[in-house]
Amino acid sequence: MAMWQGAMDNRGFQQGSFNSFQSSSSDEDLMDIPGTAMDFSMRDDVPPLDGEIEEDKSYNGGGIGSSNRMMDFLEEPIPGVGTYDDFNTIDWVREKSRDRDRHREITNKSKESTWALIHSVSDAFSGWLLMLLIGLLSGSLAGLIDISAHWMTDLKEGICTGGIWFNHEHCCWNSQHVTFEDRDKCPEWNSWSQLIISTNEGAFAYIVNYFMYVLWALLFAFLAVSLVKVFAPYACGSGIPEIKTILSGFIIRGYLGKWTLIIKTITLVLAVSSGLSLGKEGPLVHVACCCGNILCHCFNKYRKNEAKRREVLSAAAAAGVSVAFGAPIGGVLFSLEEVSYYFPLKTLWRSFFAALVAAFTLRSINPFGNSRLVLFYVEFHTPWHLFELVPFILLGIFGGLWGALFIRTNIAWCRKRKTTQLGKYPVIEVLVVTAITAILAFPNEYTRMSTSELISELFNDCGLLDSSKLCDYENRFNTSKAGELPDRPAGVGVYSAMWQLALTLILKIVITIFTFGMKIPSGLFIPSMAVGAIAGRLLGVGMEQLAYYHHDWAIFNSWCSQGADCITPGLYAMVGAAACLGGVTRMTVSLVVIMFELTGGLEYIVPLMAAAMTSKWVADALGREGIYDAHIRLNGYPFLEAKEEFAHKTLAMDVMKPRRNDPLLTVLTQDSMTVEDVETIISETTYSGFPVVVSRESQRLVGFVLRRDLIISIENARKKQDGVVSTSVIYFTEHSPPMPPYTPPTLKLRNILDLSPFTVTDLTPMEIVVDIFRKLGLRQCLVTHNGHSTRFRGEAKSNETLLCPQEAYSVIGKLRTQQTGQMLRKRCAQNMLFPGGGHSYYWLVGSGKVFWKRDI
Amino acid sequence: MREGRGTRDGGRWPALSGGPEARGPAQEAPRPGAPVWLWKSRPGGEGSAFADQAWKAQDSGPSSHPLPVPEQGGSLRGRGCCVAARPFSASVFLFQVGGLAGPESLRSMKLLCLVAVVGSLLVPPAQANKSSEDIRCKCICPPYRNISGHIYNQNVSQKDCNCLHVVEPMPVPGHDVEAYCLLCECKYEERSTTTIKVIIVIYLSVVGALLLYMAFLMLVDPLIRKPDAYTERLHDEEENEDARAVAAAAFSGPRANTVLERVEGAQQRWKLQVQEQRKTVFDRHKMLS
Repeated sequence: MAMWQGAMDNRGFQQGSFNSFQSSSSDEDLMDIPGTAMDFSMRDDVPPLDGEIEEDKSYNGGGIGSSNRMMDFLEEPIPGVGTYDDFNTIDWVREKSRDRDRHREITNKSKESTWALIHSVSDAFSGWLLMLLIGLLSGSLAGLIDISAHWMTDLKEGICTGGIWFNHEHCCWNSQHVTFEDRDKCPEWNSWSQLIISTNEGAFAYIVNYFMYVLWALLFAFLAVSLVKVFAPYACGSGIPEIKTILSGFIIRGYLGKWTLIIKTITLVLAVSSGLSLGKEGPLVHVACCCGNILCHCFNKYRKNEAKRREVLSAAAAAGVSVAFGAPIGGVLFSLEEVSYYFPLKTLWRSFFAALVAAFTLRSINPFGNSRLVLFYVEFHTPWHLFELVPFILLGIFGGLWGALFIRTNIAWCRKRKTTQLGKYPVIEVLVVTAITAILAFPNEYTRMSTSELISELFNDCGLLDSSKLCDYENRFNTSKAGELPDRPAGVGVYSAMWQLALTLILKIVITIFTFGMKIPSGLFIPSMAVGAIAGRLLGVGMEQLAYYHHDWAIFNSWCSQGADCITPGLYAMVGAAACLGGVTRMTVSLVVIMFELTGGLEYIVPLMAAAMTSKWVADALGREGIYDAHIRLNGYPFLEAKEEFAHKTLAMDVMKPRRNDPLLTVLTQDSMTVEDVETIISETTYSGFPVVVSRESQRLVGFVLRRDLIISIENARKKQDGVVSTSVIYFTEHSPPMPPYTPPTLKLRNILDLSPFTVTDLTPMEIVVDIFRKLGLRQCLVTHNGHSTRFRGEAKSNETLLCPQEAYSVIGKLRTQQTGQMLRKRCAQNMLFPGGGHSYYWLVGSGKVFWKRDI
Repeated sequence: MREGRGTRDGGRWPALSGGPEARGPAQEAPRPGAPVWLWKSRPGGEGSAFADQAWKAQDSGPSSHPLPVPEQGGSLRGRGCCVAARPFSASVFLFQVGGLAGPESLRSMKLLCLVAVVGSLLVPPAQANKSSEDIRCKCICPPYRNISGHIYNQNVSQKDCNCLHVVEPMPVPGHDVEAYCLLCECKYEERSTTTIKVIIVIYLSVVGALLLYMAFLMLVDPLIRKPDAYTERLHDEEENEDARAVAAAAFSGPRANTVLERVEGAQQRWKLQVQEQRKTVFDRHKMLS
């Protein structure tokens, strides 16, 4: 955070950068850290600047003579080196090579002793163990969320006297007094009007129930938003855009922390129960990722390596979807298609395992009481006819339209919230939306019931035994058999249900736009699916009636004779749900897999695929990004979209800085600068790292050193090494330079120097540079001239050298919020560049991300 | 064809569906409502093999139904609840403290409590023995001739979950039982009341604890804590980027030794962190908007 600000603001830098990690180092005591701070947050590490030396390591003032002990000291990494600041991006290459080194070391040692062998085995095993724990924890939490959300949702309508912890269904579970006509009622379950005015009939009772419903909804929503506001602001929203960004290498401290986990779990239940148009699926992914991040702290291998940790988080996201939908394979694919950035095969297997364990855990808790993982299990297996692809494709088009509409309007509303006064009143906003939702929802039974129940009812195929209004068909044939029923004419109940469903559809469409993005945990899978399911069911019933009354039409008479069961409205609802979800999220493969795992309808893969594909085409034609990408862009997270094409033909030379007329590139020399010089450079610039050259005259590149490492190391040396003063010479070479007598001891910093920085020549096309950033996950790339000699060009022609990523970010962060032009011009003078002299485009190359922005 | 259909469904009463050609005659059957088509071939027919077995099962005597013993089950369940509830509340408590307490010793504890949570969440389903409350066989029988529809609910084991064992008393005379039973749909279901109870109790206690703590932070804390120099400064310079650094510097002084002080320090740091998050999310709208 501070780095971000520090970089944005020169004034703030003085405290900014030094204190930035001072504060983060004192963070570490905080049990809460989690974020993605690493060594820093851990107990066993000595915080670099906290001024306390826990154990007296053997180090030495750095005199020339004591090279032996000196080396010992240098082998010990200084705590804090190699970590990152908040709101920074990790260097995938560095992290991966560090892990390889570590692995190699363990493998080598394992031959030496049995203990080391055990250590290496346990190290290899720890990944799987971690997956097991993640699966167990996220499965358990999902069970907790499911059960409590059911209970609280029913609490809005009444309470169980047979045991206060039972929801409506379980209250009547064992009751002997349930009648065939009134299957939902049993004497143990008391509605609020029964409790308060001891009657369930009449207008007054209705009003009491209405009032209690709205009251409970408001109470739940208020609790949710105030808990979020007081304890963990990061717990709001769906979390998937942020997780995508984090998985691509960004660091948001505390986002995956303990408090976020607790608060998100608790408030998710409240938000779902309040009857708002939101779902728990997206937030469950966040919850699972929090579990993954917290559990990473137990394993050295993952605690200290950001790249490895991101592999774990990818798997945790899979586990999250696995428990959210009861779709383990869909979860793995979701992680692959939608969330992950770096997804090697090993992670695929681990995700598979984590998803398996999570699903198993949830199943053993059995939250739905149907011995299945999911709420929406469909039991019909009626075949579908080829002609029905037409309505399925229509549903796909509807889904695409809905997706595009939702994304546009929701983003517009969120932008309004972000930029205007509206954003200042999160609590009031939540309360108002809840009140409107509850007041409009109660009179209509399809909006009153929870959204997932609604979906499950819409997916259901009507049998003879179903009592719902949707199944109120006229039975003109003899009612002797259950099982496969022919198409029947709709009864009164169906017609009134159609009206109510149409109203529900409108309400859901409108209210979801305003709900998603409020400051409470809110996912949008369930509302999207509900919209699609309603539309699908409406179309399905329409088709069914059409086929019933006009079975002699040419399109029907070949396959739908009278008395046959040819149209299944439940299937249309499924297809519609898939289409709408696909339109909003732009998923394809994972969506179809999730849908058939969710419903158990293996026969319906082709309709689902057709709808998902159509909806993606339509939605892509109307707006190019899915909801998560749109939110990433809205918030200005540094996320490099791997799919985006790069259209401009430029060379690295055109993009790098400093530009021709800029001041010289700031470099360090390998053995001639003093501590004071370096500190001056640090405080005067905001670059995230500095190239180290042989000497100012030759400008031959030696390596690259990161600003943060440099600050920590110097600070550390000043505290712990005797005799290091401002005039001490810093050297990055293997051996200390010859010094005149009576100079203060030198400071060797070779261990923080990256000796193999990525370099390209100044004539490399930008496409290749972008690809290098994208595929390798680089953080910075040095541009050299006359490549074979890795030589920076001389001072006089300073038109080159460093793509300074971090600065680019900072500007973008700031730009998006305030004083656009001025800030940019000021910053551009130092860092930025405008290729081709025009001001319409500029490139920001940063942390493996390239921003490409027009006319800021 | 009929045989195949009939036996496919296993656990349920022999499936009720026939092929389309089987359905034809049914509609023309003289007695509407009676599923004659399946039973016409009964003498010597293979179609009713399954049903025959079911009949035998019933003939062997309804008195021998393996009904669960409620007393024993009840007591065991009670104990299970106890065992399950304790680690739960303990771990939740640790979680609460974990956020505040001094860090050194707590890391292992953190791990422990995570394991405890996982363990205790898994315990209830394992311990939940099938008491009478936790299993049911529910049969829904639609109206048949002049008998109105009815729902039957019995605690029977899964293998006995069919119409013949559950529908008591049988509303139709003997020769009609088959026809009536074909219409009924029986479903065996399990649940764990212990799990439900434990989870709801835990959930409510966590919410309660959080609310209490919130009330403490908002009402009591400002009263007992006199405004320090740094917090004042913090309020003055809300938008100032330095605020956090200054505050952090204020805390990085000599480390406290007693547990209480350490808890205090950790709490203050946590508050600062949340404040920072709040600024990011609610005031500056940098994230999550």
